[in-house]
Amino acid sequence: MASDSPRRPSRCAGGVLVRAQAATEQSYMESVVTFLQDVVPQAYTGAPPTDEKEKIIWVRFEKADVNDTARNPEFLEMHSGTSDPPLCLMIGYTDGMQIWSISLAGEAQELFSVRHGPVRAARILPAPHISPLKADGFAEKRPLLGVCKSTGSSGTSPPYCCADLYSLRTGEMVKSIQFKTPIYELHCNKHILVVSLQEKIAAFDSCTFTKKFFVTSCYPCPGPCLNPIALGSRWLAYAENKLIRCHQSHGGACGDNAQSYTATVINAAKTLKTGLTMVGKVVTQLAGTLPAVTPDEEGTPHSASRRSPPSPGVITIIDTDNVGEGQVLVSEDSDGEGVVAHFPAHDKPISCMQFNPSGMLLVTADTLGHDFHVFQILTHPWASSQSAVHHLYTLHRGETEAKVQDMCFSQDSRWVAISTLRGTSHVFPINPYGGAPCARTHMSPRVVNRMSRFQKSAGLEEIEQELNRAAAVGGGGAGGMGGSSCILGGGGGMGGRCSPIPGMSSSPSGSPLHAKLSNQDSYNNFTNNNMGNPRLTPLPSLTVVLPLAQIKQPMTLGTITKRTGKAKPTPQISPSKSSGGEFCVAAIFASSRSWFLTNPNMKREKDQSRQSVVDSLYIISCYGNVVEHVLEPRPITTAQKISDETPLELSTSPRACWTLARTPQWNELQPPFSSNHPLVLASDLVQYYQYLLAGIPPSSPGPITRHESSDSLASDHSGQDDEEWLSQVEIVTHTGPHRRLWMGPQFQFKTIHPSGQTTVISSSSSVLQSHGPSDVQQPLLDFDTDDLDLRSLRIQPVRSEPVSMPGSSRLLTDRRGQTNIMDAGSGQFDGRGVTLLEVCGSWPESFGVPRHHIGSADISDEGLRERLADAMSESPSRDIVGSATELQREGSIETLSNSSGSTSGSIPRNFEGYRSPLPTNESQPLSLFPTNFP
Amino acid sequence: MLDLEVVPERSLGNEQWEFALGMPFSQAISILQKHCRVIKNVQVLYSEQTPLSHDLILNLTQDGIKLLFDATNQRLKVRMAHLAQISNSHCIHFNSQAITPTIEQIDQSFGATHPGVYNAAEQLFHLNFRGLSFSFQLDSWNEAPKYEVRMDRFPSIPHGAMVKRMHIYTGNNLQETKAPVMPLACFMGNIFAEGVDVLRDGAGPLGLKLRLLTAGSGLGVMADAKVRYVERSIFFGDSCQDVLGTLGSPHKVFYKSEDKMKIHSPSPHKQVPSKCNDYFFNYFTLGVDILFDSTTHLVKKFVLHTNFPGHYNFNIYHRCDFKIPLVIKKEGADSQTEDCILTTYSKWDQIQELLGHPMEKPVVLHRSSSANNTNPFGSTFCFGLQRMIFEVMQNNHIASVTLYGAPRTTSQARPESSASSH
Repeated sequence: MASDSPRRPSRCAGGVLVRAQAATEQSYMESVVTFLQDVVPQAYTGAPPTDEKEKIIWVRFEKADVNDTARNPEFLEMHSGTSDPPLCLMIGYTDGMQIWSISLAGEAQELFSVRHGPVRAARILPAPHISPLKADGFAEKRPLLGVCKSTGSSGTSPPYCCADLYSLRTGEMVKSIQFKTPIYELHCNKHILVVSLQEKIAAFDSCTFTKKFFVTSCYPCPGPCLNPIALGSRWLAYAENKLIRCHQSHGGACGDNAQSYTATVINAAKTLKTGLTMVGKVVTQLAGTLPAVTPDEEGTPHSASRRSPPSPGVITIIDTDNVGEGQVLVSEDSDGEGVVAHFPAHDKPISCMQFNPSGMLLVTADTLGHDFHVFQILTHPWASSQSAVHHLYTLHRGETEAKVQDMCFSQDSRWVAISTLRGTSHVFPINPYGGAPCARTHMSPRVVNRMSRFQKSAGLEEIEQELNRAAAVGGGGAGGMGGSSCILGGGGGMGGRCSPIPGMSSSPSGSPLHAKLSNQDSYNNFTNNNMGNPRLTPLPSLTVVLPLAQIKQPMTLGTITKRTGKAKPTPQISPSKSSGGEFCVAAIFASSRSWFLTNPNMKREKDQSRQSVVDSLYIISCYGNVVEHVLEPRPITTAQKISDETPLELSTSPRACWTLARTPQWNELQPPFSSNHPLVLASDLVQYYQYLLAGIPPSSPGPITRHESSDSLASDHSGQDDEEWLSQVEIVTHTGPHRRLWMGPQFQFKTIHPSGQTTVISSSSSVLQSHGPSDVQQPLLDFDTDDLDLRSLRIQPVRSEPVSMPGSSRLLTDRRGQTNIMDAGSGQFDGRGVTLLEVCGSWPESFGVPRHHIGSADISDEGLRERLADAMSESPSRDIVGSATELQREGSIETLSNSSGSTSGSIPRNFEGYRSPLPTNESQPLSLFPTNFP
Repeated sequence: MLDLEVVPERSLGNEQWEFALGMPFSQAISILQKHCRVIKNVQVLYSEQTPLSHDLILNLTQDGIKLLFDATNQRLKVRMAHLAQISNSHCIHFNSQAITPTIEQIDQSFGATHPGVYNAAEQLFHLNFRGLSFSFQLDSWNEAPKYEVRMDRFPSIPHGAMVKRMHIYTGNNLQETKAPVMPLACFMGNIFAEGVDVLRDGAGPLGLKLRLLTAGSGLGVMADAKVRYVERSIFFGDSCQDVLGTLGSPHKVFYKSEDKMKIHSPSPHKQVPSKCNDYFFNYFTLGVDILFDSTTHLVKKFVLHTNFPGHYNFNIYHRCDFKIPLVIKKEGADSQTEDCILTTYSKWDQIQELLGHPMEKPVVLHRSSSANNTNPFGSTFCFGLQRMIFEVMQNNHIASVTLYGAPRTTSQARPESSASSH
């Protein structure tokens, strides 16, 4: 790891690597909710503590090739989690910037450091997605660093108006993109580079850096992100300056809570169609004071929105792959191509937003910063007006104003950390599918499904849906309901959902008209939406969540908090004090790196932190300190009884600290970098992987240093394939209904047997039924089935009548086994009961038994065979003719011959079919296991 | 008491629900389930051994209504009602309650048509309209022979003959009728797949090309009454947002619990429990599941479901009408390749002929939902061939196909995503 650049002066050689220090724990867990901690940076190894640090203007955790788990082969092979990617972080100084990586071993390594004037924004551009049709024009220059400096490359342009792309491999500037107005921020994914400007967004192809599309209708935000956008793997979300009804998605923001709703309803945007959803059962004990229903003064016809002033709080999500070239404009005239969703998210201007790692959720903040909204984006393949946006959570930070500067999700989207400009990071629990976070959902290391097994088996989902439905219906007319949720201000709520309907204006809730509307609406949902169209289901109940932890930066209270264990006072620099108590921080969730502090010799796998249910939260502050906070959720201690639904509390403790801020004494670390520099190395690997994906030979994407591994990557895995498929078998792919269709009682499954034998076994009866034609006479059937006999489903295993077996007890046990086989496994399950699923990887021995047994029976006792046959088939000849004609009409002659052939034999066909656990065919009975059958 | 309106060639229903011809099976089931207090004792009739040879039938035993679903596309084909039985409990729109429909009433309501056809074997007279036919039982009169020998060769149905049953179907001929395309009202904003082609190269599958169709939004007013067809493709390694943009949002997201099959993994790390769990996107109306990796959020697997009756998961998914092109290399003549296509309706022994017999023993899947009930359909068997896993039912039909990508580090050719162009 200690691969220093040769350019590095020796004096600072030790400064490149920074090891973590144990963070002080003096303030450990004083309070769950408002928890102040004071992390004191201690001396780092190698470099003497200096009093003077350079002033930091921004910090950010970066996702680049070096920590791209999806494409960097280094992480592909160790998929089980033994090798987590390093953290990559950037620090912007008043005179330059720095890039660090923190490995899993807890070593922070400086990767890049320049002093060429202030940098407003910087990104390490990931290796682009390439294809045979689209080559990367800059392959030999990568990795590229995109920066926005005060002094542009040309020197004549105004400050911060130029996005320069530097090659870290060669050190040269390979591209410079000029703008007329200052650049606020750079974003990138493997397809595009997005530059956000004043009320504008420009996107560039990541292979050629030619212009792809641009957006000019952004709503400005006072800061700190002046033009907030969120870029996912494919989607781009931005704040639109108006709401266009014909593209509006269903759903959108619901009112937050009583206070903020009443506070904002006066100047509520005409376009913001809020319905107020009160949630009674969530963690927040919102008092039951429901606000008086405010009549929406909305009377404006639908066409007026065109001339209306810019409306804040509207979000548009576009599919960057699909929007085409040129200007992207959401308007009534456009066809909305490439628009994924378009919805009101807040009353106030949007100040920050972020996609979760999978890209299904979007968390947003407005300029007030009281509440953050989590939306689930439910898309329709080609119309934003048919998409739905479900407001799952309102994350309630507080009643004071705060500006959000950073948001991040944990990898499994169960935790959100939102950092404000005051330097406080708020940690919220959420579920990717909504609902109140509780012990069941957040105490397990893995994401649990929405319905617990208990809920599923009790059919609670259906009941809940009924309740929601009832509430939706009742909410329009009555308002206050005791149900789990109800939609108030129904006019708005419904309008939000149905507003694409032209001319539909909302009416005061409670009016009969509206009650009718909502009835119809829920009726539509009830009857029509029977396939569970996710976009049309009733809006999920909104959950209000309070932060479980608030992690403040030490210096905010630095002079007040007592300090122990360190004599020397922390250097009292106040880098950001000038800007009114604003502290730049950034946070990220990642696996713990502090394990070595407690037990340096311990193997990582054995470390207890592997069992932690939530990743550690890393926060970098404006002082250049990265602190690892260990998060430990637990059921709330005041709970009388801990159940699945118990609310959570969260204890956080700082565990490790890296001091990364550079001092004026440090030398720069500038490109060109050698090929073993981590960034260059990672870029090579990822580019090579992209070449492999694209199926084109690498055109010298730089030196591949790991040829042997590359070869093994490309090697044929066909040999491995055979063994591998076993682990790829998927058993359960969905949450089944609590009662399957065939379980009855409304439905009864009956099978039509070409051979004309019948069985009726009631699904509910526990009694084994003999199969015979003596079952309840069917009413005359259709022309298709009149002549057929039916079998009911074998809910209970089919067993033959007890047949006395001649011979020893061994035979009896054999027969016992055989019975199990005949049940096709279900008999065994009767016994074991709790086994949910059983998968036999290899051919179980017992499956070989029946054939043996039948064979031996054949030899030993002809009579037994006859009796078995009798037991299994009754009146085999009864309807042969009928079924035969039937089959002929259906054109299945092959089957006909099969069935007639088998019935003419001594053992009826369905005997064979039932006995054999294998899908057999008469013509090749053993074809499945040509090699293994003894 | 069911009060139903008949629309020839189209539907049967009332203002709350209707069984429209072309309706998918699951939708009819869902209607029945919602009226479980009115409609009881429904039989699901299917052929266990040869599920494609017989229509799938919903028999509303109490109401004398039978719904026939095409065995291949599982859409409503013929609806028939035993009016003799339901006449007391049913009202069709042309007769008031408790009055048996007679030939006169039918004449009155539907007008004239071709003369009836007498079927000697069934002893029934069939009176055919377009998309609608009535059968009259004559054996109570014992006059059938007489009609057969009448001079005018067009026997008329005696006055007062009671309708025994009624068929509603599309087209002119009951025997040749097919399920029509899905009516607009059945879309409800859902996306259906007309067909799913598996894209593959020599080594294995690469992705899916889906021919999607949808119409309307289900909100009534919105419904632009037009079915839209579009072709979209998804590939292994696509991101969540790629899939969401291509196919829309899934019906459900299912988080896998502890991966039981991991025990079979050849990787030495298999015992290390992974921290996150992979998740499925369930597209029930497409019959497709898509598995995403937990850490990278990229597509790992596709599961295509055939929804044959007699499978544990019957009626969860719609049938996915897939086609898997196979390139069979003849060993003798090395240059000769043969193009075969595997479909939803292929049987396992045919597949084996094409792909060769799997060298390994199968994996046995018992599905049992709880201690109280067992899986009545028996277990299924999984065979893995060319990065495809076939789940085979007892009757030799394919229950599902799981496609998984190459190990993520191997080379694989991946055509340029055509998902964006439509």
